[in-house]
Amino acid sequence: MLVTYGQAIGDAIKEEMRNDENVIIFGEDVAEMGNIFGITKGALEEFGHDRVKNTPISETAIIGSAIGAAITGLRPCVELMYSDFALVAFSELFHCVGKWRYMHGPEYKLPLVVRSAMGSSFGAGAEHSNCVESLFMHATGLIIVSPSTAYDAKGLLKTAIRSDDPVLFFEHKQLYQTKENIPDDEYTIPFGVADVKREGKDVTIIAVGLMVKKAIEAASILEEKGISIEIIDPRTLVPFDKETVFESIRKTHRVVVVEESNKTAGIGAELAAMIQESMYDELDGPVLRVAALDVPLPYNIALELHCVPDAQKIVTAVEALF
Amino acid sequence: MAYSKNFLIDIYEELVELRLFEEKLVEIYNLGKVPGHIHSGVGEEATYVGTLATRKDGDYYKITHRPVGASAIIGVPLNTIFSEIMGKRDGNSGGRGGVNHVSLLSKGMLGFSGTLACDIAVGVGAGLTIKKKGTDNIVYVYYGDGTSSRGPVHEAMNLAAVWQLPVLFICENNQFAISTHATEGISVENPGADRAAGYGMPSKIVDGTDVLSVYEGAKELTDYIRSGKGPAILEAKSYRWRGHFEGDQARYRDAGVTEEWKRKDCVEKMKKYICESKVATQEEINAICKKINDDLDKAIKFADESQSITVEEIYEYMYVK
Amino acid sequence: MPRAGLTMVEGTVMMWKVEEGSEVKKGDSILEIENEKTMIDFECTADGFIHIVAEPGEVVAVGRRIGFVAETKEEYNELSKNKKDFNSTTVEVCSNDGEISSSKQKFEIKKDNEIYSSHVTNKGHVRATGLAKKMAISAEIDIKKVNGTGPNGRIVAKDIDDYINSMAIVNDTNNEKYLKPEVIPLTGIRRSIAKNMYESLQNMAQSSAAVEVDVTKLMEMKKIFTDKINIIGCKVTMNDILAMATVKVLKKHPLTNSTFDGTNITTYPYVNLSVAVGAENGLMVPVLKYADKMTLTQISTNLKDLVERAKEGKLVSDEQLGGTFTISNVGVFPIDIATPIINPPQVAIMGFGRSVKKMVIVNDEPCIRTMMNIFVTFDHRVLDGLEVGRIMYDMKEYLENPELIIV
Repeated sequence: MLVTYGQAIGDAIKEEMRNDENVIIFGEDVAEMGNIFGITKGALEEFGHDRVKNTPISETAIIGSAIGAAITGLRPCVELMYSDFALVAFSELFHCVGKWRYMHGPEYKLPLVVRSAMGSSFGAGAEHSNCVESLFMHATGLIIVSPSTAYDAKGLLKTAIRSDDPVLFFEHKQLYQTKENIPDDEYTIPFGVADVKREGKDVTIIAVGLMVKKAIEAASILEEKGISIEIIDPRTLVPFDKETVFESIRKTHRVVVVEESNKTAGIGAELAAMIQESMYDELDGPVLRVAALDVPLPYNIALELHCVPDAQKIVTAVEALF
Repeated sequence: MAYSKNFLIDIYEELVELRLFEEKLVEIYNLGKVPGHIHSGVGEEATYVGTLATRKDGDYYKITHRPVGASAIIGVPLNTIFSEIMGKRDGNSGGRGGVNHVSLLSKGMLGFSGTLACDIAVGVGAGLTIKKKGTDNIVYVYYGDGTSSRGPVHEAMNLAAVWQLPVLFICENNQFAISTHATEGISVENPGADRAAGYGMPSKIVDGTDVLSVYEGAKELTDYIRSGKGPAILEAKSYRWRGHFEGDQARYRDAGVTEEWKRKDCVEKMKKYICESKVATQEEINAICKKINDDLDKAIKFADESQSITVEEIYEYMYVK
Repeated sequence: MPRAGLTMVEGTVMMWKVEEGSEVKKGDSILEIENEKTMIDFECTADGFIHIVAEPGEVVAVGRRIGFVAETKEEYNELSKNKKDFNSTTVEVCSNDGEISSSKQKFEIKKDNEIYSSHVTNKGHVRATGLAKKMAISAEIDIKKVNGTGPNGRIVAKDIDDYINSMAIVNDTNNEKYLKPEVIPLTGIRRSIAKNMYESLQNMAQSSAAVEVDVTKLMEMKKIFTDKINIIGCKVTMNDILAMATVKVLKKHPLTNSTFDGTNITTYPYVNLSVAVGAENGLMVPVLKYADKMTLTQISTNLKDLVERAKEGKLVSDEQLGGTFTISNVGVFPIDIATPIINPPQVAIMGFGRSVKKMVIVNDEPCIRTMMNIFVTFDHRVLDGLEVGRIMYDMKEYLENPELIIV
């Protein structure tokens, strides 16, 4: 069936709520409104107020109570609206969610999912446009999912809701309306398995979220210039599928990492370091990063577009390898 | 209120257990057996013992760093507790969490956040589970006057009240946030009770040096909560006898005031009560103390002999799979 | 020494507030200790009699003994008699510390990377990619000699590949075996071919001419012969048809079907057609005797036998003698035109190039035709251009109208 990325996410939530009575959702405006992007629309009507709950503007209480609900038997799939707001509950996520089981012992399981919408979206400004995966990659004990297609989003969210480990699930706002044909039958996608979105032989591009789309555009331009691009979408940043990336590098010997967040200490920084540590003697050039400029994302749309990576910036980076 | 002999003996036993536990903790800390730092709860036993006297099977507990011995009252085996405190294999997390994270979920304990206040909402979440199951269980969420100044406390209380969850918030007002006195850091006289109205919750203030006063206040509020009416706040007035952590000489406060509070010793007060009301003889009391002391020593010996986990086990418990 | 604070590892005994041997009670303030931050009032942890071990001013590590509290006076007396160094036995401070520090994280370096340590010298850094370095090492190349063409002059994998290829040429030209020419003495057949060819060119006035002919119809005819092989009984080749056409033309031009000894020209009433055959051992020229008396299938059968035996070196001695004219068909090779050397004492030789489809003008219209060159070398002492022109004209007519060949 042809669905949008947003519908795929909503369907995954509802299917899992039908599968398991203990799955509940709460967050700001998830009930009657069906969240500000309409992702959870219909859930309240189907499952009622006991399982679909609006919360006050209380990010720390959303995460804190999700922990308490999760360790006592529920499977909360909660929402933080914008991923920027995850930082309001940074301590709860970084210290509590990520370390609770480690600190308190194996009796404690945290089957909780924290969904949030991320990324630039044409003028959302410096506090509603961030991609914060890399901040949480630095944490311990978390699973971090950042899907780029409707198919991946649905399969990974279902796995996330069924997981006994806590999952941060980042949805890109610009992808909500992208459509894809996905199977009618139920399916799930395991964590830690990257997807090769395009096969090629000259350069490996590792891209995340919306940047997978930009990388595909860049690959078409580069193909006309005679450069063959392989695109790897890790899909889950933690756990990270190193082997698929390494296998690609053994073929292409060149790597560009594309991410939407700020360049400094970002995903690309981590991956570049990890790749050169493990694959130095396979690399035929430096691992390059294409990322946002290190500024608060400007409100002005022309300036915003100047800051975030696009196909042309990726093309320029790839060409610099030759 | 009339109490049965057994009830009073039990209460007294728990007070003594908590007192002796907290003293032993200081001792083994001084001997260098404890990594990190500890926060002795000597003098504040009544708040825990009095409230926990209202507990039922299936209730949940969110305790704090002071007193750790409360986990023993709740039912965590002493061997587990001291092993965790000493960072050993037989602790609940094999020494990965430590003194502040002594906890067993099977006993209803939810855990603790060393970043204070981040765990108040954890108790609220457990309340959500109870409400969904529809039992008359409740969650005991302990926090201090210092923690009450943090934002997440407000968010958690507001959410519990909005969702009408079965949570008793217990503000253990020992008057100090490390060295900062409540009058310096808190805008109201009663940081628990005065704020309850802001959430539309009932509240009670009890004498934290009198275990029966604490029990009576807690009984009233827990009955209210168990009947499905929503959360409430109990504030116990007490005093932190020792420094914030061992080594803190508490020179920032008036030693005379400390001595005054020490004379309101909750354990002594209860001992006097049960002796005068002929609930127990001095010999019986001595026997209680000896048994508890022996149990504590045995557990400490056990923990001393427990091994450290190996380096290979360092990554265990990070993920279920 | 009690631990007072997270970072305390040792403390200084400042002052004992009680005298050696005095009776103390649990909770009594008996000692002042100083650590890096503050003065600590130490409360006695038990009832009994104090025996001081650490004197004021002594710096003692956390966990080491500073004193004893003896439960009884007797015990105290026993303790104070033994003036041994109590601090020689250490109280373990967090017994797990040692275990953990002994297993410090090691930074894992893959074996593959270690080989670089010998390559990168202290004298100068070589700017090259990891892959290029690995390739250089495995190919035993001194990477400093490689020219970098990557970004900023960096040596990349392609540069190593290029270097390896260029070294291959140098290596080969330095190879003794490569440099040593092989001397092949001229013997047997090769020797007589050489003599014949050389003398032919030394002794005659050889001249050449060529014309392109349209063999489209000829090819069609040949195809019919091939298709109908079971009717005609043998495989007729292009060579056979060309031989037949040549015989027809020679019958019309007797001066061409002749020999010349420098004094006399001898023309022949029959045609003994010499056919050049490229055998591995050298050129063979078997003679198809009395070819003018043969039908096409007879030519085909006889020629096939001769050619096969020529290639196998099984010709008998006189089978290469008595020829009156020679043909040489090089059409199986990509050769359009050649200038063959006359087989003396004959006076001419005719050759046939390859057939190729070409765009040509027929009746003022462009069309695709199969074209072939025929070329002749003649002895200008015997034949003139006029005669050769006529021969070429007739030959062209026969080949372009192939039905004439079999008339």
